[in-house]
Amino acid sequence: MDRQKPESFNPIPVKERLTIPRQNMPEQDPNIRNGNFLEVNLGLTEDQAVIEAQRCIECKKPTCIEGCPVSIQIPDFIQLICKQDFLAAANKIKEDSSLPAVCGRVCPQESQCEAVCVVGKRFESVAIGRLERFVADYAMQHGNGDGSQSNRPEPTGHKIAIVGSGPAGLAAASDLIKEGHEVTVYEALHEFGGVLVYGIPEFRLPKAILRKEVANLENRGVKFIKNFIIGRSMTLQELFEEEGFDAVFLGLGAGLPRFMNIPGENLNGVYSANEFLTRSNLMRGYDFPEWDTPLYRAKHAIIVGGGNTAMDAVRTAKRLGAEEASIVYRRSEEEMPARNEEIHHAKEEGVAFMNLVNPIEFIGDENGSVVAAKCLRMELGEPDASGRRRPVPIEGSEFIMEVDMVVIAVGNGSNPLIAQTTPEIETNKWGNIVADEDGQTSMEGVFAGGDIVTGGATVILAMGAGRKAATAINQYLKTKVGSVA
Amino acid sequence: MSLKDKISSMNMSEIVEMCIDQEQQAIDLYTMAMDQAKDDAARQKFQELVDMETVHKVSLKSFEIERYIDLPPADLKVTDYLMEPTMNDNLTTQEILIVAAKREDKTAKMYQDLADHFSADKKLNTFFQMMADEELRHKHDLESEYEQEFLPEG
Amino acid sequence: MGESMYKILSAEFIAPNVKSFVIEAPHIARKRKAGQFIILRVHDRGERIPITIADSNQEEGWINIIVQGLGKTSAHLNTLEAGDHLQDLVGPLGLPTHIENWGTLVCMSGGVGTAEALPIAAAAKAAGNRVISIIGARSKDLLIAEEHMGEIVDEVRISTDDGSSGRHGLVTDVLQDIIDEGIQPDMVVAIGPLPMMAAVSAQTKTINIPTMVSLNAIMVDGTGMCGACRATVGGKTVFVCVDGPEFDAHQVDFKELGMRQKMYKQQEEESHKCFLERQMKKVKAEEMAAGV
Repeated sequence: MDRQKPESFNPIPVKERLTIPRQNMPEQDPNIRNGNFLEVNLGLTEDQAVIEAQRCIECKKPTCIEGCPVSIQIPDFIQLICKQDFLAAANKIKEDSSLPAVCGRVCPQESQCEAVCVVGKRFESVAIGRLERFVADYAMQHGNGDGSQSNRPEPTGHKIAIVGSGPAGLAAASDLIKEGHEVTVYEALHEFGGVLVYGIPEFRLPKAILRKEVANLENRGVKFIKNFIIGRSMTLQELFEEEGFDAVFLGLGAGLPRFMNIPGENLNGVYSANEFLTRSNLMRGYDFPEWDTPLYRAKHAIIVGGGNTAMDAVRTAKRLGAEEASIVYRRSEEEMPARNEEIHHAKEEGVAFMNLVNPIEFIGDENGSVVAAKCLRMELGEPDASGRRRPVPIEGSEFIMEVDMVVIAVGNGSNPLIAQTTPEIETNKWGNIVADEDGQTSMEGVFAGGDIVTGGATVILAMGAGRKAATAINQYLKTKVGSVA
Repeated sequence: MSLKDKISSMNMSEIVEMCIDQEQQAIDLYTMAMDQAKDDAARQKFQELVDMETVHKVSLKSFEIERYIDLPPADLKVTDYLMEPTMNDNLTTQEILIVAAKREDKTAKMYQDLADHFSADKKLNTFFQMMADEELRHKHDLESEYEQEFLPEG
Repeated sequence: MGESMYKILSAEFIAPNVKSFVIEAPHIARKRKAGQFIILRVHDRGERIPITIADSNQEEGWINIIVQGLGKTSAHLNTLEAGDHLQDLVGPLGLPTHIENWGTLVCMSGGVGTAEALPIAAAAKAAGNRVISIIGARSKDLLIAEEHMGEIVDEVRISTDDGSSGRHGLVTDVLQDIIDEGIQPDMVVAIGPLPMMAAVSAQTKTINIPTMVSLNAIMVDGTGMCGACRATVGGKTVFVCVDGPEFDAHQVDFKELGMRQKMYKQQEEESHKCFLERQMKKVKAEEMAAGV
């Protein structure tokens, strides 16, 4: 690595740093927050942030950078926090990440940067995610969230369309506008942010934060067009031929809910996680009837699945007033793909976990509303390719439980809309768009990244893919299209 | 009438005919799935299955099959409780996997019944036991794929 | 974007509680085909509702929708006038109607379904079909678009529940009349309230006439992302928004769809009541102000 070690602003001797306890982020009390949709985590105070930053031992080889999918210069921004120059710290992060306030909230740092933190080998790792969140929020509150004061780059004359305003699209837009290209983001829904706005609940990622991040991009020159479905309102070909775009990035996300194919899945009260969360988050169904979109308020809700989406759904159901909101998961807690923090928060809020249980049928009443779930108990058998032990049903263990709402959160496939209307785009057997490492698809000038390529993954991986594709698009424009301006 | 009873009332050529018919149905299904598959990896996967079932069909003529698996794999039963999709030529990949896994399960059970039926005949018993194990392995592979793609968080 | 978008160019009641809107939407007008729909929001706290496109003009850049004020959102929508703007409008959504030259097509419609059937009837006529339209309504004053339909098709027949116009009876009675007259329809298209489509489907199934229906389902995004609009067709779950909205009537599970349409009945009534109360207050306040 040829990076230079950042100047140290930490007055505390290294040995003493290890004795400083990891700073806990203040949170809303579980018994209060499970009745509201306000943000759970309240963020570190300035003092806490500086103390936490001082826990960094300034390793010669900072492994944390390698643990970050977008290679944020973590040691550098941490030293700037020690220096109490929080705005400079924020700008340092923004060199590599376009949505720090979002990532500081939703990234699984414990399995990325913090997982490889050297301090964490013997003590608790430095709370990098909390620090990221702190400086990003600080910058937003102190009017330096937009980078609009930085000079606009020389226009290149190249036009790039970005399809989808989720994390992949926003990250790509951020990198491409930096280069001086003309960037237009198309969004199918009436708000920007993709899964960040329809999927992730207010209590984990306030919409106001997201809107500010989008406004920042707008201030930097990105054009945003909502209510516009590429593939329907306009085809991909027309973007090139009629609108004069030189390249297109597809960041469509994993917009196709998986169902289980068991009897009773179409009963009223059985939702896909996408529908349930969209009704609550995007449409703000939790404020019905002040907001128009209705949403079931269940007494006994079960959410099938063990990912972050399942945790978001179950915590939403609890907040909507469920007496019992339970996770029903085929495997054991150890195998859950959800972040530990989400599982922990859900438990604190009174969510029940029914592990090693799998529904095999939903039972309805005469109005077609779900009233019960027939389930099987499972036991763990051999491990699969990913090392997770595989659940196997226990013969004769069937039981019936009363439920008045079910949310299916077993995962998502790829939305087929673009593939259907654009035969030139190659997809694999699961409907994911086939793209190489740089995001290049089988159609010239069309790049893709995020869940539409990889299947359901994380926000930061999608952002990483968006950035990679942005680099590839720059390269493509230089070599293929040539300089127009 | 259970399959076991049915078997005991059949002669050998009827049994072979039943088995070949079962294998042919699987071949037809996988051929259809192969034609529908959009990418080479999927096509290859179904081609392999077609090839293996074709080998089965042929080996039913001699009751000899090369043993290349050691242990019968665990039955994951992932698709046992799922609804059987209505057969038409418009199946989704998810439905193809369900239909295929259920078919392998049924075929494995048929061969297991045949192995039990011929418990006194060492050659036939071994042959049908191996066939049962192979079909179970196919089911296992199909269900693993199903889990990975359709229950990523389930 | 935003303020100047989705302008209502004209708005007029064409029957009690049924309003016809012409909305500025050049992109949608340019792309839409018969059978497709849009999703709109009336205001910034509004829900997303799907409405079939009745007509459009590519050169002038507008689309036409016909709205029956049944629930809160449609009632609110029907208070809007020319010059007002919609909050959001997206489309065209859904697959276009599959049109071919079947021979004789009977196009059966009820309620605002008649407006939705117009583009299909026109496309079928253009494809060379003999098109007979059967329009049903509870009574004469609720009939819409029958004149417009008359300009398109070979023949229009009307039925009303109370006998105030056309044949006293249901659209299915008229279809039976047609068959009794010796006309053998090659294809039936039915668009209207679910019970009407279910009745037509049951009738044509017994006499073996292929029938297509345009399904109305509760939707949120309209792009296949949420699955709110699922229905069972031929024993399989489909998403009406991306796999439809048109399906082979004889394969549709109408009972399930009927129950799914009523999923939020209680909440819808509550929401509608709140809206009506607010409207009442507004009217009263205006009256008070005018009185002073």
